[in-house]
Amino acid sequence: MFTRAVDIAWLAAFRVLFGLTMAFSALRFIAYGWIDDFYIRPTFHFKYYGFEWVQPLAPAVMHTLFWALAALSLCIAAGFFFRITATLFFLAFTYLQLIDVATYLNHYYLACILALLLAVSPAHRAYSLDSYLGRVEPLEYLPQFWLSLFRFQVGVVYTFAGLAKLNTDWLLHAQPLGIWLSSRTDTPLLGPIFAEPWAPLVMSWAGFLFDLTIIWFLRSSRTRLPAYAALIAFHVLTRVLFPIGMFPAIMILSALVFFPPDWPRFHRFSPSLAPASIPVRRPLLAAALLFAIIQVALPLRHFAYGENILWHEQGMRFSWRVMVREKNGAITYYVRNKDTGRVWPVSPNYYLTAIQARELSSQPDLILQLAHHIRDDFQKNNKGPVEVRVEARVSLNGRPSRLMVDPTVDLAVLEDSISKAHWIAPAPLGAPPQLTPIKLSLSDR
Amino acid sequence: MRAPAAIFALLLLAISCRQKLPQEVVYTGKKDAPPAPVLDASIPLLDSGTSEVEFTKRALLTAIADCTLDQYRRLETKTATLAAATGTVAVQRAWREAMFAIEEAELFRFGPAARTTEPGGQGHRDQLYSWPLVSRCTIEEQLVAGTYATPEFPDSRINARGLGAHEYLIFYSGSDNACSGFSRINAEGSWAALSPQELAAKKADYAAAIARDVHSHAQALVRAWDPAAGNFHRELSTAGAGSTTWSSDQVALNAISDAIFYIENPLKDLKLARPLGLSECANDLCPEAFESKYANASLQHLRANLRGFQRIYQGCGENGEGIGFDDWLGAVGAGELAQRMTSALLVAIATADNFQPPIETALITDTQQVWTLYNAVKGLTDLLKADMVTVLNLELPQIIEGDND
Repeated sequence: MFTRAVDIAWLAAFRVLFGLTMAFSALRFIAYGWIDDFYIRPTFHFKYYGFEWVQPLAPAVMHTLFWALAALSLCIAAGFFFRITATLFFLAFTYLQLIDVATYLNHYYLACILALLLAVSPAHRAYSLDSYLGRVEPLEYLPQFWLSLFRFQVGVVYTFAGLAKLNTDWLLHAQPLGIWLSSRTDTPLLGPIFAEPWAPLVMSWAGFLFDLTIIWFLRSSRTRLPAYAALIAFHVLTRVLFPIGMFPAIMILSALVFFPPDWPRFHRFSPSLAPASIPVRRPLLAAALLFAIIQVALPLRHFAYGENILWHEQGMRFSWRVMVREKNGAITYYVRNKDTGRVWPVSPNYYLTAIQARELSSQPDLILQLAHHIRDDFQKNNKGPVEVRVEARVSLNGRPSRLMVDPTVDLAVLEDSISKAHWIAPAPLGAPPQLTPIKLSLSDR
Repeated sequence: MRAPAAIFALLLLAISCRQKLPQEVVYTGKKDAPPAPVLDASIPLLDSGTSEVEFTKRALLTAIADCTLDQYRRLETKTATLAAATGTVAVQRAWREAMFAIEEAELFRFGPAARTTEPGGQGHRDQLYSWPLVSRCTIEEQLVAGTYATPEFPDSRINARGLGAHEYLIFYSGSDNACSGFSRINAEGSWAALSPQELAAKKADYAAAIARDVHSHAQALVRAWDPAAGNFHRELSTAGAGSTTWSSDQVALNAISDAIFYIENPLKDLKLARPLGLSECANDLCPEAFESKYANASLQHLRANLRGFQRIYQGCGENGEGIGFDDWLGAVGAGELAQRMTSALLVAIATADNFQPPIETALITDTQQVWTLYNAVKGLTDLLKADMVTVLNLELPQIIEGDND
């Protein structure tokens, strides 16, 4: 079935829309000053396991890189020197994500994957400058393989985003949606609904069922159009309610892969003109299979750690757990000189920007990384050798805060690893609180 | 029909299964010790956040707007007294009273008091009291130059104006200066040329100019909030319902939340942690990092800060009566958290009130007492940062507007 010939128009349209979206995204970064906020101002960056060597470039180069990203994105959209520009975009965008774990977002990760898939695909073989200028031979058809690959990727996002909501906090206690909606009761038109006590639970279930079922409705020709309308409404609503940036735009354009492959054409594609099949090389199939296995395995890896992933967060990233928890914490490190016994309480704010500190307060592996940095800093300033412990009081989905890390453990001697972190304290067992939404005024009833 | 029926059944099941919050436990990290209850039994439970009047966000915003105007009116009275005061003792007493009102008002740094980059900001706070931006050398250079007597003085450098500079001028009696030899006042000998009488007279004139300038900003703040004048009161109380400054009630409440985070920074992290040598201190202790270097009023400032927090968190009345954030917590169903925060606040206030002797002395003679105060404040800020912002869905201060998912 992967070799069946299908119209290439869907892939060309996807390339154009993706390129334009990414160009807009890069320009947003420039316009909002986020390059300085995320990459230049911090004096310390949280590293991905195995990518500790990735460092930010000089400030001027970082700014130039974002302009280059915008230009590369436009080249992708135009299909201009596509193989080179799409590959460079993928490498540059991935490099940016690897600089600091505190900047991780699911939709940036999705953008990396889609850029990779595009870069290796024949997306420039139609409606592109490359084909117009004769740099590549134009194609009208390509094997079903590419369509299946993109559909698989989009399906993975929705499915695992739905499965991530399959927990009692979300489905039984309507948290964290209850917390979020309670602060949005003055939203035009919808605010009074959010103030109703039943609204969080209904919307929690609606979100769960939407994520889990939408791709199946998109796959059926009978339900596709209403499903896509619902998808647009869903993502527009989430954009109105939450600061999720480009995520809705990326998902709305990505879901187009479930339409017939000739959807961008004014006239219906005629299958009779297409070849019966187009072969797909075995190495490509093997690579796609490996890719698919990884994409399924990564979101499932949290089962290896057990307990509540929203608490320990081992297996949280790269798993499409989009907006499933509300977590805040108060973190204080206690650094003890082994020789003198003197103890210094250390605030993370001394080392981190506000946004890094917020991410730290919910993610134990970042707490460990900063502990190592504090250890090194103290020893560099002749205050060592030291032990580093942490008091991390964290509230999950509105529960009373409790210690997230065993305060007796010396984090200075622990090594970061992908094995189960026994230094993380057990998750809270009780249900999150039932919070009552507050109306703006009594006359709003 | 089967699928909708199944979904409906699941919904019914979900609603019926919603549980009451059981007693939470805290992980102590000690294997043999039993889990400790979150609510410290030693802290009395208080009637907090349980107002009988139904709570609304509009009521909270209006109460805080009322409180802010009341705060600035009291400040205006105190600065008027300061501007009219003559004689060292009377001026020093008036300064202490004005500073108490200023330090209470530190927790109200939203709207016209905030920096001009903030919603509704007119930058009055920094004009009143620019700490920690206070430069003794700049004050001394301007004293010699007589800048305070020029029409440009209200627009001169902020680190040589406000009640921070005023403190130096009325409490420091030494004849030395803090400038280097490269400064014009030392290189040209103009400082050394001043007789003690000239120096005292210039300091008095400079202080009087500051007092007048401070009073004008206090008046401006009152005018800005007064319903009969600038009516910023309306901007806050109608946030999300006609306010041109704040498009939603939550954004306005977030601005107020940012302001009360003053007790985290600078109160805990700057006013207490730095003297204790926890940051930016080359020695074990850094008494020079205390806020009040000349009047030894640092403890009084801390007490006023905590009172300011109480006026917004509990209510504007003398002992926290009125609508405050604790009522918001109680209304959303987090009454227990409200009680814990009130208890933590009262512990911090009591620790500050019972502190003996002046904190500048105690740092050397009884460091543990300063630690106790630091930990009392930390007990409150931990609840603020971890629990209150979660339950009320408030953003932490200085979080840039960014994407999320």
